[in-house]
Amino acid sequence: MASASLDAAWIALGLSLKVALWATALDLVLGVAAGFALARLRFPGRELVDSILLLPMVLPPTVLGYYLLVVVGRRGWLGGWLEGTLGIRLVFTWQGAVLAAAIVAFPFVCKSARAAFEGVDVQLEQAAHVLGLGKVAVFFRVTLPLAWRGILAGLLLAFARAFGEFGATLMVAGSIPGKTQTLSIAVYEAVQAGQDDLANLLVVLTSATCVAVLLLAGRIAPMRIPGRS
Amino acid sequence: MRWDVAIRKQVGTAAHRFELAVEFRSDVERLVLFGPSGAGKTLTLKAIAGLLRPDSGHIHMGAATLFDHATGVDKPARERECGYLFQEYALFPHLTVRQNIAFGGARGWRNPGRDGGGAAVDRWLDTLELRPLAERFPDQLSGGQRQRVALARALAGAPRALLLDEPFAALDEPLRNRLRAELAELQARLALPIVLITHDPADVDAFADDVVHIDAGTAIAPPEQFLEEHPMKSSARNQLVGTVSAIIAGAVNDEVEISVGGGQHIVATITHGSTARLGLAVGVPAFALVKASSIVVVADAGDTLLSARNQLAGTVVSVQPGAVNAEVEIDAGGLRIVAIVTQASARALGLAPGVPALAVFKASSVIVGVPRQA
Repeated sequence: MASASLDAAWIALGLSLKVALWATALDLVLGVAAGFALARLRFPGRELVDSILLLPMVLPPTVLGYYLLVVVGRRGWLGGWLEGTLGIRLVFTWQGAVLAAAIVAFPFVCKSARAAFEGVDVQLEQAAHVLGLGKVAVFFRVTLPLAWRGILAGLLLAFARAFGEFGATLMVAGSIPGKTQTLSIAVYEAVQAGQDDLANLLVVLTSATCVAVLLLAGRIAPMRIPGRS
Repeated sequence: MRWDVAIRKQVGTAAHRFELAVEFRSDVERLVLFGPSGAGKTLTLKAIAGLLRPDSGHIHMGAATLFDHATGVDKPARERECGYLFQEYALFPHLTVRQNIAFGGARGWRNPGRDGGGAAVDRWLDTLELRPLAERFPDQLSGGQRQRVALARALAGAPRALLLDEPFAALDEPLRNRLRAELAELQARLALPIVLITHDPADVDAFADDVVHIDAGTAIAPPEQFLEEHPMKSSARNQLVGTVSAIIAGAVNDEVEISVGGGQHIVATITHGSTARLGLAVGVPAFALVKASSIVVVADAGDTLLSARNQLAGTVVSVQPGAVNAEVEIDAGGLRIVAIVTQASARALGLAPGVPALAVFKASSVIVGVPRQA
């Protein structure tokens, strides 16, 4: 096998991992915050917001990608402003791929975080307040540790989803080798170009990575909540 | 005056409110709030601790004003310096016994370490004989041990008063007696003011320097109004309306007690799933549906004990004979119950207006209903 195609495969794998990790990190912050708000705050239209946040799970990725282009594209209202004032371009960049992957994977984190927070007994939080803790401390010392397992499960799913993201990424970031061409897009390009060797290699790499992630998930997930055996 | 409490609070849905109205003043060291389940005792205790904000009124503890609606004072729970013993103890399941006790002493956003807390925590571990359990997690403890950990955790913050919510309800009888004695001894040693709420007269005997009776939690919406707002038609002849006054979780089923007026309570057993699905909670208005044919009429139980959880004593109001069966209407403290018995039984029992009778039905024969939330 040509070393050039091997290099290309490694580059695509590295890029996929980078994009998936950043997307998961983004979802960790946003998804946990949204899940917490949905679980603990009472505001009108809460279930409507919940449904809207779930949309990326059911919408075709190409539709999401189109929405994203409309918003962050060079002529989009947010994209125009970003490029005009901050000089940030999202379309056809790996950051754009991160944004697309993060949005597609967001519901996994948000949904599991909400369920995990709802599973935390409010009385435990009350006990912590009575013992002298403020709201933020209660969140980090009681609520989050007790909800963490559920959130982690959601994060792993989100990572897997972001890693395999294709449609929305292709729409927003395109397929620039070494820049925005992730593994899943590279597979598509290789098959289209009739490079069967490369396609085989990429597919094996992708599968191996996914098995590794699942094995890791299997090891992390049973890791306590201590005392729960 | 050590305690000066006068609060009002409405809870429940807009249509069916449960109003808590409690007022007491007391200067004793050991105060017991006594009343049936669902009377609002826990709400009162939570209001004192700052976990529930009253709609109006005031709460004074000694010279300190914890809450005063008129002047807008509402100290947050963390500044009230009250120890609180929750009914199910509410120990942090992810922390060891030692970490639980050290919890309040550790500031910041991180929990104390496994060996955190230092000498102060050691002292509480020794006082409550928890030293051998220090490294265990709450789910590895027995009920009595959990209570001692919860006590140590509440006391470690050197509170100005200790609030105890049914501290012995989760324990079995022999243990209950022993821990009552232990708690009384500890309280005397620390000279710590306590407020204890209970529905168990034995707790009153053991602790009360002064007793406040709470029956004040009253459902505002009368059953007629409730029915008007939530018309429901069912084939059950007995469609009783009331307020959930207690939910006792069992291994498989929950036992739901519905206070239906006339001082009567209906007990229903339903699955955990149903409790969650219906959003049942103490104070929520609910229907109890009982088929007339599920009710056994007992004319004279003599000294026989019956296993059925629902035994409403009253007098027969009317007996309507039908083709085969007879409808017997019984008035139990203002609550009308209709039972269907065979004509032969009605005759044999001598059922007639004015005759005392017992309406008996199993908790599992009661269907619980709540209005759909808007």
